[in-house]
Amino acid sequence: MIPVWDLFVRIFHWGLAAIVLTNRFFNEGGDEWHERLGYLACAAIGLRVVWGFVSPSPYARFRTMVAEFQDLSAHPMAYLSLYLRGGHRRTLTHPPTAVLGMGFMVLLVLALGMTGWMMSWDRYFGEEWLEEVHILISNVLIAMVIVHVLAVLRESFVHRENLILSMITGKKRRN
Amino acid sequence: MKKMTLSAILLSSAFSLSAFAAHDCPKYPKEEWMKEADLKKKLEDEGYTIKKFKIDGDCYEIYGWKNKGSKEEQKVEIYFDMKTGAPLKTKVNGKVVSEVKSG
Repeated sequence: MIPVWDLFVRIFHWGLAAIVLTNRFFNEGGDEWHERLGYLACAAIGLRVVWGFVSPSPYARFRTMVAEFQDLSAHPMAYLSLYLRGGHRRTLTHPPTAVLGMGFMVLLVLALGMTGWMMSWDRYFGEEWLEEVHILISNVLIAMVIVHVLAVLRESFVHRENLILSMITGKKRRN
Repeated sequence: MKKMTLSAILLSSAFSLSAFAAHDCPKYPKEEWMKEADLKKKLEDEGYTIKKFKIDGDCYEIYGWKNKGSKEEQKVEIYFDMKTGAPLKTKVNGKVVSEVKSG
């Protein structure tokens, strides 16, 4: 077993998950805590982006993600069909589909932060359509979270490893 | 995968009743409601500028400003009892400053 997910990456991962679920299910839109946690999530994403360039661990860096992504970008259809059949190769970091999914989820969280903030602007104060856009984005995010969890479970099954445990301990089987 | 994504979206919309901070106001039959125009007038006389006036659940709700354009300008969101027009929850500049809990 080798260390793959460093402490920052793990805290970011579970912290973001906790904030997304809390803001969706355990507090109310417009609450002070809802807002604080939302901005905290955006700030954490900012730090994660920095970490993607400066992390001493190669597995946290975007460069590594981009390299893994080439499996997909070189032959998108071929890779996707291989992925769907479960014949794609195991990676130490993320399969390319995970990079796409995570990138999308991160953008959705930022979009939630942005639309949430805009609700406090004079111009959009009390505008229901903006509230609805905010809720719509959160619906898509929750759907993506479910897809993410299912994909992780399937990936664990296909490559016979416990990826959830890996995101807790940070360690993965070398090959 | 397509099926998985689709069912995930369906699943999430099943519990997608996202709570957006409303307030529990007492419920009255419609004929007992204070007239919208009367409440608006009263608020404007008290120095409020109303941006949005709506019915949210069993409350009247306004988004607007108090003392707009002055030094003491405050951005407010207020929920009112629909019969008496009494403020039940008041947010000033995004913070709840007073809240009357009803049964």
